[in-house]
Amino acid sequence: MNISYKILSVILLAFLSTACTKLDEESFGRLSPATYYQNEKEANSSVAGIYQSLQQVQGVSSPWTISVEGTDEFIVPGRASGGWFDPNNIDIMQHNVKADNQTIAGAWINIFSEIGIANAVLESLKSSPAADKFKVQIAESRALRAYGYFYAMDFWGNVPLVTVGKIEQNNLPATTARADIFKFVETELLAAAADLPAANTVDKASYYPRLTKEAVYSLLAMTYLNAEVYTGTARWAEAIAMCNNVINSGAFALEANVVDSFKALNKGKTKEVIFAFSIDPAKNSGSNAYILYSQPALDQQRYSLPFAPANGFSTQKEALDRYETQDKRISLLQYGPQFNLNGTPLVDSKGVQLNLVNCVSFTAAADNEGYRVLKYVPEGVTWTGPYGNNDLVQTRYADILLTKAEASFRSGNTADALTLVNQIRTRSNATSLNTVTLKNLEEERAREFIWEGHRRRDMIRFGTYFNTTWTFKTSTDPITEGIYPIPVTQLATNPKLKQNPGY
Amino acid sequence: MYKKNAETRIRHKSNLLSQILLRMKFTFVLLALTVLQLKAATYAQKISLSVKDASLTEVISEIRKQTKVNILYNSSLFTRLKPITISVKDEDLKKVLDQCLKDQPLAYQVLNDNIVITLKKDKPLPGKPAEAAYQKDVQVSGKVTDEKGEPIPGATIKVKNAQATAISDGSGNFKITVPEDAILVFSFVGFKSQEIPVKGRTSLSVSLAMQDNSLNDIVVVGYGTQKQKDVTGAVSALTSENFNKGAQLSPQALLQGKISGVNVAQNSGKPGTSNTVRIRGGTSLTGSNDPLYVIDGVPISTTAGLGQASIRGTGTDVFDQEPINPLQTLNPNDIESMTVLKDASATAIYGSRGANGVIVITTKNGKAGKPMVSYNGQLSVAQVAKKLPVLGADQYRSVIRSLNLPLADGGAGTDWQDEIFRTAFSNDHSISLSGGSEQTLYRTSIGYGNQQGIVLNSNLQQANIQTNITHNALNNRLKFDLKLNYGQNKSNVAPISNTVGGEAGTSMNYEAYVFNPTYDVYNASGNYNHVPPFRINPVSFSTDVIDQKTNQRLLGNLQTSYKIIEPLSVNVSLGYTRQSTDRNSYIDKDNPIGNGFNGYTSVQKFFDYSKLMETVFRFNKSFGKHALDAIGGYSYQYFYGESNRTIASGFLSDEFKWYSLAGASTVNQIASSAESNTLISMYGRVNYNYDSRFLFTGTVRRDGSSRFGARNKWGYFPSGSVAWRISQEEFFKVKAISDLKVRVSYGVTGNQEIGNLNSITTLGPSNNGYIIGGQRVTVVLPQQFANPDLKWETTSQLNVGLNFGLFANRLHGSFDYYKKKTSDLLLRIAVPQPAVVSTQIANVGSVENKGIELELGGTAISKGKFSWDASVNFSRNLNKVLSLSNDLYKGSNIQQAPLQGTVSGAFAQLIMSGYPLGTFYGRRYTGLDNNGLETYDPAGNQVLGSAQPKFIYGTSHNFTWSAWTLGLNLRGVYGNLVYNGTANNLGYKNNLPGRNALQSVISDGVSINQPKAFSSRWLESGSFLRMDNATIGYTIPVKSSNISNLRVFVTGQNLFVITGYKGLDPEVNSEVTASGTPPLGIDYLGYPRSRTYSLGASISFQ
Repeated sequence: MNISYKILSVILLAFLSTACTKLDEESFGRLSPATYYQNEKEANSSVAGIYQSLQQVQGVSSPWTISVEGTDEFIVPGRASGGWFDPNNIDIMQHNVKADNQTIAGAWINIFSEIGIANAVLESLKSSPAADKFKVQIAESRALRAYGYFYAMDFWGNVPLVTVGKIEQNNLPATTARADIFKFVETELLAAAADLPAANTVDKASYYPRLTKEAVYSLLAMTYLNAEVYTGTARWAEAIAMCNNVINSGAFALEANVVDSFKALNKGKTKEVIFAFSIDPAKNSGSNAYILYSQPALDQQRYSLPFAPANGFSTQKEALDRYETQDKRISLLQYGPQFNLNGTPLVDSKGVQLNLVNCVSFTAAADNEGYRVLKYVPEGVTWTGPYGNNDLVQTRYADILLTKAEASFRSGNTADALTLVNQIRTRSNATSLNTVTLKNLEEERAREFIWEGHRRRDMIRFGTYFNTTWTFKTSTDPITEGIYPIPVTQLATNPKLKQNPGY
Repeated sequence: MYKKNAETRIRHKSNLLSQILLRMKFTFVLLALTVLQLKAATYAQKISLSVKDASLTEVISEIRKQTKVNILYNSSLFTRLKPITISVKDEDLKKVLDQCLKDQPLAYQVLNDNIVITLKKDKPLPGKPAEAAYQKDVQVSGKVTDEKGEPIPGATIKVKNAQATAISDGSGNFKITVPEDAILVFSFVGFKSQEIPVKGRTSLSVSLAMQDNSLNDIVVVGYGTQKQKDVTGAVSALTSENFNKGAQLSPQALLQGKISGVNVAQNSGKPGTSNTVRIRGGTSLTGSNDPLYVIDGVPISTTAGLGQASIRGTGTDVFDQEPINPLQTLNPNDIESMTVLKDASATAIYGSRGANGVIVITTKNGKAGKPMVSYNGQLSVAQVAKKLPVLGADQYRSVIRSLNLPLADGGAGTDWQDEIFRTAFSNDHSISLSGGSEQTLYRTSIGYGNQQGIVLNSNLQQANIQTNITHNALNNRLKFDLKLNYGQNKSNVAPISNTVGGEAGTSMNYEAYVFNPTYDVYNASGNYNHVPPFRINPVSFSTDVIDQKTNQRLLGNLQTSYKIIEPLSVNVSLGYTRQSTDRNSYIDKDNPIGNGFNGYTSVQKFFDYSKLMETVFRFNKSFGKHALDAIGGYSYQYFYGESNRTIASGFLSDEFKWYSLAGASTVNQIASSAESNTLISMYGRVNYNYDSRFLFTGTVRRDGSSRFGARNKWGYFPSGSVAWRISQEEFFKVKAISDLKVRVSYGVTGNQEIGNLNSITTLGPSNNGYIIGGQRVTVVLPQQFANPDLKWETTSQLNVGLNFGLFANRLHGSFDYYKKKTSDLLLRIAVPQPAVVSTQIANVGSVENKGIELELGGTAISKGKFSWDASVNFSRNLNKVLSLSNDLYKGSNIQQAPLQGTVSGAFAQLIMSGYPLGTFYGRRYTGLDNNGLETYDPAGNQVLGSAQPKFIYGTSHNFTWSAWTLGLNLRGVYGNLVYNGTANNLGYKNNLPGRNALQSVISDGVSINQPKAFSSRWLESGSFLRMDNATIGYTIPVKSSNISNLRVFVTGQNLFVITGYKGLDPEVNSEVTASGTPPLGIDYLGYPRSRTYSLGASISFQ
């Protein structure tokens, strides 16, 4: 009996003593923001994350789509062969957006999570013991956050202005007026520009595509160009000043062809690109899916692609008709009978040549309906699956020239405007203009920047977004259509937000 | 009167073993063997006893306490016995019994491990008139047999209202002299007594029917066992003989349709499928609704090992996304019983893991006796139960021509479904060795199965080993119980995905529905016909896509029990589980699915282990009419899991695959992670029984988990229940009602499946980098915000129940009403923007489930060699979301069930307060306009119905005739809606010509201009009645002394489904995503079900 008691006590003691009572979570590789950010490399790893997050403003997803979709240059028709039918897209195409639109909701999440990431990173960088080494990184983060707010202001007008990492549930932010967001964007960008290096002072090979002073000036130019829409007060002079900052830096120039800025081989090397997002799917660092999303499947054959494109994003007659036949930019569009690179007809397995026609049905379009836009050309691309490695162009020198042209025209300096517009037209072999009108300026921007994310903003600024009609937009709209609704999911999450008028 | 009868009924102390044995028909062979084999062991047990002038009842009670031996007796024999005085120390049981019964008119014998006390054959009872004083006495002789005609030795034959008694001999024969008008009462333990008037006959044979002993059945509950009659909670148990028969796709299928309140739905028809198991409805909206599984005392993690492989960046998954079934490595042949704990009284002992119910699984152990070798084997053949009616080649041509669409005519006619489905053969074997002595019991088994899937190139091979050893030492005070289980499944998974989404979306079955039927499988040069860009030859999946899953689990548990001092004992349990899942996938260079990748492989490894340490003290004592059984325990369980995944592409040769990743040109992704969590608990339970009339159970568990937020590390989970066995009361005089018990319970349980690391702020590297200066910069970003308030979901549950037995328990059943409210729901709520994350886990909102459950079972007919046992169960559950808000978060609704591949960005279901989970929400279809376009109720989006059934039911029948048995199981669901997403995708003309469509497009009048739309048009009634299983068995009478049992059987599974549902099968959970809770009632491209026929045999050698 005594022996068994001993056995028992030994067993019990052995097991009870091994019993741990700690309930702390083991983090296994998860870091704490309080202890990370000890050096520039660690700071860069998070700032790179903000860049990566902002990438979608030029990628094929929303918010890029909603920056072109309600305009005369972009459609996503549902295909009779199945696929692509999406009422959310159709509502945007027809200016019939409702507050529960999923595409708009997706854009909101993408933009505000970029802002949220920037807020969190900024908070940590500023509170790090090594903060004084992070001047550039802090400036980049502020500029990238302001970039996000520029888009938020542009799409939704009145949005919550938050600069802390985490919003407390009992202290939810209300909507801030569009004009105040404008002021914030302006102030932040100016402050960031002061701390960022100039383009000519950095080694482009190792610094590209980080923000430079000029990249921020170009964003400021775009902000001032639209100031009247956002605040009611025009800021043409400041727009011109910012353009001059870029021009006078001497760091940028037009390339011989528009397409040069979009070629994979030219990434980081063109004189024209002021700010871009780097892409390399082979290194799991972003992907360029323009060809996958847009081109007809037979382009697999034409360009010897390792995949068949999905025949989705298209453009229409209004966009095509803007170009003169000799304008080199028209070659960036696909329309009519299609040919292989060697000139033979591009035919399907039945021997029928692909003939791209204007889109007539947005719900059940035939596969050859809709014209295509091909700026991110497959030439020189390294494919990883169906993804290309062309960097995504955010701002280029042509935009600075046309922004200055428009601001000059609107402030009465038509001579400068004419010179600048013709500079752009000449490059692409379009006929030089003798005089310039606002309509010329609007259309030149449409021709030059098709699918580069400017069209909706431009049409709103010129008023054509509301008072004209085109293929799938058959009626004029009130000006409230120029601001998207705040997604219902956001209103539910934050009851202090106020829905925009008209929704 | 009834009370008296109950008291004088033959009583016996039960344990699991004796119950199982007693429930089996006593065969001569078995009897003889057990008598021979066990006698020595039983007699050899040691007794220490010192009493003076004690009654025999008291002495037997003491012997019972000291040994494991059951002593059975008819208390009517114990009249006018001599008082017993005895003093022995460590004496053999045999000698003690001999001494006690020496001067008594009693004898004893060992019967099946039990000692049965009977009258000495030739001695009259004391006080009985020595010579019969009656006139016209007759000597009656005859034989007592069981229903099968096997003799019953030791049966009591007694004259009603008189003293004369006889006992049947070893051949069941008896002789008794009685008055010619006497009434004889035949009785024997485990059998129903029978009264037969003599009417002057001299020869009389009687066949006794087995008594239904379900009241004394032992059920396994959390941390122990209880007699069914003493259970105060809502608990349903199923033992192996009642499991569903035939080759099962998964162990959960064993109890499908058998237990009320438990809805087991297979997620697909593939081998090794996962199941959606819901006990009393779903409580959680976004967390796990799976019950806790406890295998041989070890709670196992259900959230481990999800294998998924995403091929394209467009979010399309060719590969299936089903989670690993947590029970996949268990062999159904090794399972002894499965108990479902339903109400809070039963589950609260599992605290923060009990809210979804608990399924306690016990594996088989050996029985003392000669070693027994058993073999079970079956061969099965399966075919797809139903195909979808898509347009045949000629219909396709004529519809396309009539629509003036371009026709790509391949000139052939191919039924693509026929091309990918096949007749599948399977075989399954298991062999076990069991036996033991008084000290040591053992059972070990090995199982092997090879199951083909009905889809080409899908199969599952499983192997498992189970070893259970029990050893008693130190005079039975110390007991070791070792259980070891290892299992491996290796499967080739058919690339059948139910997440086919956008344009590039595809999977094998989807292609079989939509691929152009005018094409041949192969073109003239012998290669697969594809239709680029998106249509991929269905058959090519079977050769060009490989998806292998290997799942392994080791489960070991050593329990050491020690009887410290009567009535206190302690049990220390050490458990360890180790599980791993390897998933390797490859897509050939040539197949268009790998569009652009030029050979694509994904290598995934998941591994986890858990270790468990539990110490439970148990106090068990009866004094007078009071019985107390209490436990107090401490438990520590640690879970660790890690995973890694590599995706690579660009292979020089298809031979390299994942075997040789160096052969890839691009490494697309490398990822790895590790996680752990710790659960520490203290718990206690008191069962108090007063006079078998009043029963009380009180439980409390205190759980602390590393997963919970800093402010909520520990939670209490109490419960209490009372039961009153009205039938035991003096005043209860309804003779027809043999048992009546009312129960009430209330308690609180939790659900802690919230994932790890959800309460703290973390920062970590992303899979995606960013290129700066041509170099890749690793991106490190905040991943989530801290939520120090994060805690478990809390479910409080009230249960009112009734157990009853009628006509000597020939009909028995239970009825339960429950109402449970789950609050602090773990919801992934939208975070106010801007924020690093768009959603965060928080405790928000509440859900209510209430319902009734009815179970009925009994013997409908028992006549001669024929018997019919039947059982029915019925449950109705009403689910309602009460709120999606709390003090801080305001939620109005949550969209659920994305309409994949049909209408992007839209959802079929909406979770909102006041409505049940699974509420379909959208436009109501009202017909077609003149242009053949759909019209809808102008009211716009509205509630369209619910995926929750109004009720579910099941019924089982077992017919026995001599050596033949027939078992039937039927199961059904009524009153639910199913979204036929497959038809929504395939049922529009605008599929044509690029994709084939359902035949219904020929006559539905819908225009080709009608885009695919979600509306009530695609919601159908999901009611069904299914014959799950029918088994005909025959026990071959063998005279060989070596073969103790030889049985052959034929089983048919899923023999028919009666339903109005137009899709493949109304019982679906297709939207099985790799994480989160699959919404109810979504049928979208599931792996079809099969109809299976099996031929099996079982044989036991001794």
